[in-house]
Amino acid sequence: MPANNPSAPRRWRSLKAGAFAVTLGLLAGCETLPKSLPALPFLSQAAPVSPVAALPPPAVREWPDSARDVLNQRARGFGLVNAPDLQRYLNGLYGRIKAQAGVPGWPGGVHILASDALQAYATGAGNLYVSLPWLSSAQSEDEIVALMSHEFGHIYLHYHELEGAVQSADTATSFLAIGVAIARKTAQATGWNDVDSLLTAYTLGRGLVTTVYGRLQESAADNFGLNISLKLGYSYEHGMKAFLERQASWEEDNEQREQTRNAQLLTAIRQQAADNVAKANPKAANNAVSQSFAQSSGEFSGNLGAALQQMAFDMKKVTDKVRSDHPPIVDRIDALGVAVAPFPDIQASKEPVTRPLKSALQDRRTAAILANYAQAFKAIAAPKDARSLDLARKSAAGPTATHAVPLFALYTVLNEQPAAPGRPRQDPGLVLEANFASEPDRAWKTYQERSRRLQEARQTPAAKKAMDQGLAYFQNAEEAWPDAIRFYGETQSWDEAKRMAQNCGKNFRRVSARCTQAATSPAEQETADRKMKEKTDQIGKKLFKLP
Amino acid sequence: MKFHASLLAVLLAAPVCAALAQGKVVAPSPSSLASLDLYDQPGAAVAVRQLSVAEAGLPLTIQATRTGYHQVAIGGQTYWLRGLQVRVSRDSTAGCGTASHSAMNATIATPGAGKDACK
Repeated sequence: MPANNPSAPRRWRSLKAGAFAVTLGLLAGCETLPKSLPALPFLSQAAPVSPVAALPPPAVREWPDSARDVLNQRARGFGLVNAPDLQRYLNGLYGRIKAQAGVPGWPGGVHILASDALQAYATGAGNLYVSLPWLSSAQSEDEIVALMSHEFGHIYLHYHELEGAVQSADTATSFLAIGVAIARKTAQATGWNDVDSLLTAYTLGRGLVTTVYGRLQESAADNFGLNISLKLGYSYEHGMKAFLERQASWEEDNEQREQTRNAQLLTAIRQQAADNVAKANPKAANNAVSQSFAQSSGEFSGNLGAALQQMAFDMKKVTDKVRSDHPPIVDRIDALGVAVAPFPDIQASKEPVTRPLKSALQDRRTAAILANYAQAFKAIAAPKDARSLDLARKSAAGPTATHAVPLFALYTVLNEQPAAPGRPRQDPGLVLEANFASEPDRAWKTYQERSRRLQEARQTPAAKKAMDQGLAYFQNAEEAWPDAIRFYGETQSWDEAKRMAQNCGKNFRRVSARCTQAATSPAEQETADRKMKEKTDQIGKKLFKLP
Repeated sequence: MKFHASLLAVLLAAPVCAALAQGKVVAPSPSSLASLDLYDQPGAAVAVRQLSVAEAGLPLTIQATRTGYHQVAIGGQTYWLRGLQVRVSRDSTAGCGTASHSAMNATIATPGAGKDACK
């Protein structure tokens, strides 16, 4: 704000008032914000479950359909791994966990996620989902039981109602879209101002509300997991502590990976800026002064771009930390350390239980499945590598010949690597069809990918056939619908897509907004974007007299 | 085929056993702990020395592990640390290859055992 501008204070006051009004308006529009925090499970009960205390009785509930829940998870990512022997072992452990919690008849089972990340979650239907790397990395049964007890803690403590509340609150973000756009517009014209600050604070605040849910859930589930795993005779050190330590190491590794990637990006930005300047001044090569100027201006713009990138990276890191659904892992380990401190028996050193896990992993079919997935993950991570074709071929054989991940690995490598000289190039997408043929192995991802690529190649009837088959099988999986609606909009008609979106909204409330969005034609999207821009400009001009 | 499966089983089992002696001591546990108890053997009743965390030179490579204790080298001497007093880094076979091919939308599930580190 320039000091010699007499109208500045008045303008500043009106800006503040305007910002306040806008923010109030936006907040008033957020009808879906949670209204009664203390009514939500465990927010009113600060005391954690003691490692030795009796568990609180579980709330009465209605169970969603378990099989439908499993089908829906098969429509996410690469779906699930069909490994019956390993699942039998895990379900045995889950049965003991349920029995220990006094609810042996509860529905749900353990399913293996076809993901190479460390992932584990539970759903309201009573199912636990654990990714392969958890099973192949855990050092003992203590650790697996701790992980599963933690996830079961979420089910027992009935946090899924809460999860629904958080999801509803998420829709509040749509009310913020225009506000954020205004903030951007005013920021461009006047620099950082009160509108930005207030909106950012609100956006972050909304994140913090959900963070409070998430963090309390995680801490309570940690305490619950500790309680159950100890009562089942497993060790704290090799169980809950080891599970959290492994999660911590994984997160630290990935943060390091992200930092490295960011450093590479910064270098690329600098280089790109220097190249742009060189291209814009081709004659500078013959003139030492021009060359020097071009170089320094390239460095300047490169450094500016790099600085902005670095700032964005740092801001993301900070906001991620503040808004994370999970308390920092170290805090979770510390909290459990405090919980066990008064109990010398729990702290006594004991051997981990390793034999049953080892035996389950060494089962012939399970061992082959795990080895094949490890090869497939390697091939997916480096599809251009000369060894990947061999890895992918080996992975899509034996007990995993019809599994989605190994087939997708082979498909990806075939796409990336040219056919050997003298051999005709076949359609790589054909390999995915082996997955369609095996009912227990089917994953939505393969249908989606196959139909997309056929459509890109203008083979619309074949693309539709693949999508029709996929949707016929996954019609009760809500996750499949937004993709399918978009596909039929593009290949059939946007009216058909809208009709499907209406049905989707009726049948699957949680993905209703995604279905509606998927049924928006490119022309409608363009109009909506233009209207939003016009509205933003109008409000910006009215409030702040922007040019 | 039998030989192939057995070899696979051995290869898979190997990390389970070997990993018990892997990893590093990265921090005290709880993290507010100011000093570490050093023992001359696993299971010893009394610590031979106490060392401030600042002087310990963390991270320390774990040389061996015995029921609840990790063997480390500090200042050229070998000691044992209680597993409960330290936080250990632990390997995993995890990666982010599948995540880059398939964004996972929010689902009606718990947020998961930890945050999504592949984001």
